[in-house]
Amino acid sequence: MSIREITVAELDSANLAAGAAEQVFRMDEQTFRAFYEKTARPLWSYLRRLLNNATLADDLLQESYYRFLRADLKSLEEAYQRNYLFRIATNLARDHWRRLPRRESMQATADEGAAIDDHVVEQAEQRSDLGRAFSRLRPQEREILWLAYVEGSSHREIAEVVGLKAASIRLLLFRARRKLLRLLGGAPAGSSKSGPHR
Amino acid sequence: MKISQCSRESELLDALRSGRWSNAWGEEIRRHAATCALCAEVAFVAQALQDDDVFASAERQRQGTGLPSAGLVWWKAQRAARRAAEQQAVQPIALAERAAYASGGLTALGVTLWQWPRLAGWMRGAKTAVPVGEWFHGLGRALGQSSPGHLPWMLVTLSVAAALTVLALAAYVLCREE
Repeated sequence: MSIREITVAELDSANLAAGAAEQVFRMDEQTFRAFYEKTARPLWSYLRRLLNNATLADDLLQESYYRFLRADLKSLEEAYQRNYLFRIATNLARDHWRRLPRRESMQATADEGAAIDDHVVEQAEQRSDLGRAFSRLRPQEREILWLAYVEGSSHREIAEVVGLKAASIRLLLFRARRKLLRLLGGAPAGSSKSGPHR
Repeated sequence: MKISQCSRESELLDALRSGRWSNAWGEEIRRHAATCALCAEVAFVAQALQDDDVFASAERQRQGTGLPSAGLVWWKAQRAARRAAEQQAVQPIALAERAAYASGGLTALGVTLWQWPRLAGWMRGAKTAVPVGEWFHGLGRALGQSSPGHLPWMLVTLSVAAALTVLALAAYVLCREE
């Protein structure tokens, strides 16, 4: 049973007035809402870049929260719960890749918005370069890079999410970063302000 | 493989994530990155990814397609969980149903094989056709005369045994759930 099969019409027809629904999960609605507000956007960004597909990211976002709510969590600490949520999302993304033919999983999908002016065109092109380069990384490389450099996760946290030993993350991160740099055309020597070069 | 490390890498990442990188407070760490190859590499990649993140979110807002609300996700999750529980509850019934069909099929097959000559004659409407009452009487005689190793006998026995097992299992599941 997947949350994606539940339609909005089905929700409308069910008796779901506030307080009418019996408690199905261990976490109460209030706590969930607060947790969702903090984690939904970063989680969506993570999934979107992993999968290179915003629509699919929407689907897997909801499925991640559904599985999170049904999980038997060992700790109520927010950091633990956040990590657990990202782990669920990572596994869902991997399940998705496994179902794809290999060639399709390595290609970037058309996911860039319409350009309006020169600045937006330039940014869209840069994003397109990054999207293409990122999609040529292996799934594990994408996961590690995003968690380290966007989410600011520690090596231990990254290891928990991707299911590896913490000691191996440093080397994998180094290699993934080097590979992305190569795909982007390399960083200018000592440069620290400019974005990826075309 | 020796991996180079810089003790200021985490400070650099903090500056990027907090926004200090671009303003006056980040000048010192920017100066360091300008002279440290490793930090320059990290800054380049991290900035590219973070800019991509910011741009994607802004674009989504511009298009007016925000994330689903917490309430919607909550209610959908509740609904999905209840549906899964309902499906799990009817699983023993579905299993019993399938087993019943299978044992019924085995029984029918066994009886058909057993009484094939009689059935064939009846269908042809030939002089070998037997009235229904006499047919059942003949079936009862055949049951008594057949040996246990005879295939139709085995099929009927198997299907009766399967039906009894299914009944016993169903009773057990129902009693356990109560």
